[in-house]
Amino acid sequence: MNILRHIGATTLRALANIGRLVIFLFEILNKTVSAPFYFVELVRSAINIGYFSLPVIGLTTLFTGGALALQIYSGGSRFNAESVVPQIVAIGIVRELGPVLVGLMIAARVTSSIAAEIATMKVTEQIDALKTLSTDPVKFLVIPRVLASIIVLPILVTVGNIIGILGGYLVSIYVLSFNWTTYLQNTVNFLEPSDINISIIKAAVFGGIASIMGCYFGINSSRGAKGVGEATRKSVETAAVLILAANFILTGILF
Amino acid sequence: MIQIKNLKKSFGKAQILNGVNLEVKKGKSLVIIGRSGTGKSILLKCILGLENYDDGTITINNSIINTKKPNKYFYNQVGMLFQGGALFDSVTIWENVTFRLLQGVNPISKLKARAIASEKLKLVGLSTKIMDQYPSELSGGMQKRVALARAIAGDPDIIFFDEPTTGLDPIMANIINKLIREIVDKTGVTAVTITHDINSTRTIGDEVALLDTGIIQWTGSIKELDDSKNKMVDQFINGHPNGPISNNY
Repeated sequence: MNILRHIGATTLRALANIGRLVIFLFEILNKTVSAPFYFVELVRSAINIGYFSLPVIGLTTLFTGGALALQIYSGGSRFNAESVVPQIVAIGIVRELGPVLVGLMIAARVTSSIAAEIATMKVTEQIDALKTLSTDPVKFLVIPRVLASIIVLPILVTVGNIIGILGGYLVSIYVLSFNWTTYLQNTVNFLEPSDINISIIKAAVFGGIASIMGCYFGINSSRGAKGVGEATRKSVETAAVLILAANFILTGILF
Repeated sequence: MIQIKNLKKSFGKAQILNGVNLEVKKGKSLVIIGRSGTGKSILLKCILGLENYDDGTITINNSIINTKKPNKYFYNQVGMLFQGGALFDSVTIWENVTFRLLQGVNPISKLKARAIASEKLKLVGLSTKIMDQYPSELSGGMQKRVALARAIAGDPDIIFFDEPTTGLDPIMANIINKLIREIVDKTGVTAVTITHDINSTRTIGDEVALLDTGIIQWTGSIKELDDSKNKMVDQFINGHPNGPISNNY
């Protein structure tokens, strides 16, 4: 009986959370189209999410691109297909690894910081203070961050894709002794506009997920330092899992 | 004018407010006293529309306050000094003070906002040299004064003070109490303060209400406080450990 009770309680909690999240999403959609608009906050969030994430995104995709080139070369050599390295690195990075890695790095870097910041604001009554100063917390804190993520992530992923391909290129030229003009030609000729479109669509969706999760768990955090920690942990976990699930669904749809 | 009728609020099985009736007249300063944990802060949050209540009505200047149907113009009439100050740590002092005026549909210019911030900071006894600093660079007492300047920046009709002297040394606490009294006298605003500090009560209040076991047990003028003939009030103001005030939390 205890197990049944536990399963029932967990299911009810999960359903209540999904319900709250759906209401939160509708609130965001509803308030996005009505004044006032906080452009300064939007720009500030875009700089924080985009510009300051560049080093970590660059390093992540550079190393992954290099490792990918080595793996493809190693695998390809088993059936004399070493020459496909440029094409597979390009398609692997642009269609899959670029958006997913950038999404996960943003979940680690941005989702956690949004959740911790908003949760701390809640604990220190700054959210209540916003309300008493005639400022809607969703409009002021949530919408600029969500919009900034959706706008900035495609740019970040594009930069990440270029650096990832560069990583593969550097390893292929200097370690695997590929010809650099052939490598570049194969990469450019193989990629299609649809590959880039898929990458950008995924990036925008992952950006939305990362920021919405940070805001949702931050604004719904419980009181105290423990509440801030829990909100941060849950936001990163949920964002990472949802990004991977969304990647699977989008890949299936855009296949 | 603020009118509270039969206000009830519970969290699970715990009945925090059990039928609070209270009235604050325009231009008067009411202090709500009571032991920690008796629901003073919850009462204030209900009045401010920050917390839903279960039953009863709260009317401010003839508008019913309800978080489910928020009146967006209500907050333009009120100022609030939070217990911890609740200053926004990502913006400077002058932006904190004039936050309400800088945001919203019709924001004022930054130049005008700085002038207002300067005026309000002087009013609470702070130097304008701190205008471009951040809250974390100030002491607790200074932060409280900045929060007070922010509460009065929009020239509100009603100001709420949540434990205005908590965490301050006795000298700073007296300075804050006197500042609040001066602001109430100078501007003629209606003020509601919650505190368990008797010194604050005597300095800030025109009228006093004692909250215990979820209801208002006594109300009277500040002059009547020492001769209230109410055992709960006597116990509270004299700090007696034994008496009719509930020890159950």
